[in-house]
Amino acid sequence: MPDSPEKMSKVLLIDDEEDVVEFFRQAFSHFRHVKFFSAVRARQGIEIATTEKPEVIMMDLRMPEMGGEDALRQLKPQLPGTKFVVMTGWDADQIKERIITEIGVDAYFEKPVDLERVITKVFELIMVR
Amino acid sequence: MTTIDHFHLSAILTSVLNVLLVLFVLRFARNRGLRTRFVWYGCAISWWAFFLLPFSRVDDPNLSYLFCQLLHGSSIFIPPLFIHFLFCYLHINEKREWSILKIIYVISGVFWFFDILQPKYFILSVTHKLGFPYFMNPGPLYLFWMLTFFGIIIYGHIILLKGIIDSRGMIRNQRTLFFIGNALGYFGGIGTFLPVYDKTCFPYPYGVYGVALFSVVTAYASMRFKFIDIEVIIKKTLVFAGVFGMMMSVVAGVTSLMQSYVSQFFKVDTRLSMSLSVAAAILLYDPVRKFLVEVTDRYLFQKKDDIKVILNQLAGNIIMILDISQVADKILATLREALRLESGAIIIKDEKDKGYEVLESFNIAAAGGRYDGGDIFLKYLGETKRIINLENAEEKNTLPAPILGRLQDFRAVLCIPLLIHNELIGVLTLGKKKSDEEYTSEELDYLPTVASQVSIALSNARLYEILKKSQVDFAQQAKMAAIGTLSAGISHEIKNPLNHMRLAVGMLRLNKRLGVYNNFTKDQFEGEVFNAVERIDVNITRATEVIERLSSFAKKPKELKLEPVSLEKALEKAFRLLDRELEHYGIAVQKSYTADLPLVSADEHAVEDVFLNLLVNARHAIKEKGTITVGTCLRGHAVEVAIRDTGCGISPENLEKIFDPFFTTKDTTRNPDGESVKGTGLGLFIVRELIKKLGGRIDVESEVGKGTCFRITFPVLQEELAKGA
Repeated sequence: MPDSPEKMSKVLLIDDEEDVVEFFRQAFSHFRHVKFFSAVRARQGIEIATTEKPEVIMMDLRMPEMGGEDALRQLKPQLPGTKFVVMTGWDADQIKERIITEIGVDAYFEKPVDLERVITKVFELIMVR
Repeated sequence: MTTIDHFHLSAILTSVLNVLLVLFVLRFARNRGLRTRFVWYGCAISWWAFFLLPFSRVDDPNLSYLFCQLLHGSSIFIPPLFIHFLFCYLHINEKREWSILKIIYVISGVFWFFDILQPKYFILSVTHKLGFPYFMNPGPLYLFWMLTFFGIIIYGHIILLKGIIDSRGMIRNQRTLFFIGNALGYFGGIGTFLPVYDKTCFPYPYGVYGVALFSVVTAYASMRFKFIDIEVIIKKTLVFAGVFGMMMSVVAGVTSLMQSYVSQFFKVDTRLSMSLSVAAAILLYDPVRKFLVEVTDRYLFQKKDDIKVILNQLAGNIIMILDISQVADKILATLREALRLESGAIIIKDEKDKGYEVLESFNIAAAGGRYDGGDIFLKYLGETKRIINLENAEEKNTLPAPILGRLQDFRAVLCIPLLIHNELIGVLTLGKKKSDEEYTSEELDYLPTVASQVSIALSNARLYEILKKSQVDFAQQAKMAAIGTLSAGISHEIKNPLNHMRLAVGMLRLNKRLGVYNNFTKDQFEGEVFNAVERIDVNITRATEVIERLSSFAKKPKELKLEPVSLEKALEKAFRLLDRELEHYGIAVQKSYTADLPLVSADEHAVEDVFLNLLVNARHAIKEKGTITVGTCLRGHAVEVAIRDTGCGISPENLEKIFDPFFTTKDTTRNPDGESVKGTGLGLFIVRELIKKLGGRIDVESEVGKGTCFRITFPVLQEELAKGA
């Protein structure tokens, strides 16, 4: 596990699956220097992101109403200091390429994800900031 | 040999050699117009020379007189046919020259009229002279005719001379030889006019040899242009000459028999008997000619008529063969044999990936080749939809170089696009004939008919190929294709529960690593693990459900059966597979089911397949957010399901074709995620087939830009009807 940073870091997870949110909430609760935010809809997530300006935003791509891709496109220019992590069940190569090269995210995980690897990555991103 | 023998021998020789020459030209001349003109010219000379013998040999004055008329009947037309041939040969197109030709024909026609109907003015009589049993004495018109004859011939030689001066190289040599041949021939021909005026000086009696020489020189002249397998020609032409000569003898024999026998018993006016023999000759001419054409075509040259035979064969046999390779093979074999082709190929659209492959071929290097749909050559044919004929120099010159190159790869002379619904399903290429001969106009005229027969045969075979895997398999394909377009959505639905399971496992691992469990009691720890296992179990159920839902559709249906079916339930089942997909693309679904509808008689699985297909279509038709409306209602003794989308709609011309197999517009569509949607063109075909088999019906209405509505009805179950009554 990475060394604990001195100040509190904010992590936001946007995923329409409540269970997924719950897992991550529980996992991050073990780290006192992380404040965990979550949203089950992209719009709600964007609201939280603009007010809280989290260090890392984790996001699902396929969500009802508004997809993760649109949310990314909206948030990326607004939050230059934020790192973005995508977790998705899509296995379409075109989408992956678009997200990585066109929009540019800091990490891209395909479901099913390994909890530990994702969390390690999130801490890594917090550290390099 | 006496002088008379020479006269007769040279006449026979001239006739036979000219027939040979005519056949030679008929078989090997490339230019059709020129060929026709020459054949007429040569036939006139043959005919004349042929009757020279009986005319000057028979002991009967009446017969001799008749033969004299007959030989003149043809020699009168030698000059105009000579000029006509020269005009074609020398490419003379000026109006002035053609009016001269018309005048020559008219003058000749007038002389012919006298020769046949008022012969006394033309041929005064036949009498013993110069050792011949009978020979003609000229009528008052004869001298005029002779002068006209030689005037026209001299005119012909002048324009031929001009033609020589204007040309160079091989053509010049050919024309010079042709000039010499003609000059010799006509000079020799003088030898037959001399005895008419009781003269016996040179060129009598050897002159006619000169005419025979004409044939030899002319044949040599045309041969210099091209190497020809002379042995074969001689063999064939000899057979033909025999047949031709036989016919001439039959005509002559019949007419002379009539003359001698009829006049033995009745006193018959010579003019009447003559007219009768001419009539007999004319009557006999056509059947004999037909017989001749058939015999020569069948046994010697095998052309012209064979194109009709090919058509019959294609119509008869090929439609019945249902293996596509066999069909192609049969088509090529038939054409190869009938037209005596050096090479040929059939290229056909591959239904799987829209590419094209060389299905069957002979004597080409490109055998077994494959081309994708965007191939320049196939694209060109698909756009022009026209037959390419490389024998047409103009067409060859205007053809784009890559197309020409490709045709040369196929050693093709004719390239025939095969079209179904105005779309290119394949290409038939035909190489040149073994004989180097051009395709006749008759053959070219038949090509479109051949092409459409071949197209139909090939596409039938292709259809059958798919159908024979059984209708059920066929339906399966279409369904899997429809499900395939949903695969991204389906894999997502399976990956989500998998994700939960792995997260649950990850959670346990992470807590252990962080030492979270160190302070836990045994009960607490067990509870934690049990919780995780429970979650995993829930998600196993979830994933299994997705797979079951999918496999219930993917399962190979057995024979169709009629059973009570609730259309509403079937619709709902199809929707279950599509819900996530529709939600994701922002497609709203409105359902207006009429309550308490009776059950219908149908096959449950088939109905679900039908709905799935139609709903997937509706989803693909909607490019951006839209609505799919489904409704059920009772229509008489049937239940109707309406599936309406607010998609792109179908144009009227496509609306007619949507139920046709392999018709698809989906290969160009891209769905919002960027994956291309590839249609098999089988979906709606299957839908209609299934519905038809189940005794239902399907109707469609559509407006471009507004959307499409499919209405499907199935008959209400008999028991339900009884209940209602």
